[in-house]
Amino acid sequence: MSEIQTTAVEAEKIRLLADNEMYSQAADLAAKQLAISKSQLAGLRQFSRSWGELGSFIRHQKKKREEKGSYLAFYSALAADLQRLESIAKTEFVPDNLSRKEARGRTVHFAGRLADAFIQHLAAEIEWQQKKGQP
Amino acid sequence: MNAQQRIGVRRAVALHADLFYDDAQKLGQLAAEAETNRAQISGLEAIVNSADKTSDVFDFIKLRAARQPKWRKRDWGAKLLDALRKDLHKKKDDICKDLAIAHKGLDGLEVHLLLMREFVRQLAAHYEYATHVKTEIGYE
Repeated sequence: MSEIQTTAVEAEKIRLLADNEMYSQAADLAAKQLAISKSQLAGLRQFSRSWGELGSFIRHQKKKREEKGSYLAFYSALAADLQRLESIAKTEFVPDNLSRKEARGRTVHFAGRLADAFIQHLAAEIEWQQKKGQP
Repeated sequence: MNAQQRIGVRRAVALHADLFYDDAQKLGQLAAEAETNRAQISGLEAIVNSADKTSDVFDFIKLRAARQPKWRKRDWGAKLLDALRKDLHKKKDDICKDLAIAHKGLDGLEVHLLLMREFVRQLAAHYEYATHVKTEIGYE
């Protein structure tokens, strides 16, 4: 698969989506699910640059949490948010006239860019909320 | 945004900057009272001057406030976040409305970034002055 090039127009669109939708979506999730550890946040940050790795990490955590119980609500909500984000990537960046392979490539590329912004906002918001009010 | 609108934005930001002088002064003094290091203020200036999204600056402040107790002292990090995110958001909307430019698009984002840069520039000057006065003259 050839590497996807991001045009200037697409870059501007990502910038706006990251600043508005991704930011408020991350704040909404953080407001609901604050019980997450530092190591879990570090894991999310580490995998946020690759859509594929991030998806695997979240699926793995979700499965693990279904057995253990802790953080399950967080990972379920996060998985739902990433699905929503994938839909945004398809709507905004994937034209109808592409082959399945090309469409998938573009979806992965742009969903990954949006997910990276989303996870950075989410991690910052959670870290801040956990320390807010402390000396 | 065309060239004329760009000039209009610069002028409007300069006018609004005069109006938030007192707020920037209060926050600059608060940062000095919280004993925030000069390097932290330089870091804030660097991120606000290089950011292409307002949320990059908000994330920076949240992480500083989460990780460094001095940013939580007297709640100055949270107050700074509110000033940049809420107060300047309102000013951005006012400017966009006055100049008939889209407040939700890229132009609005640029206006908000310009306002933030001006606010932090003022804050840094007040911080510097407050720190100097406190250490050199002994004023509390």
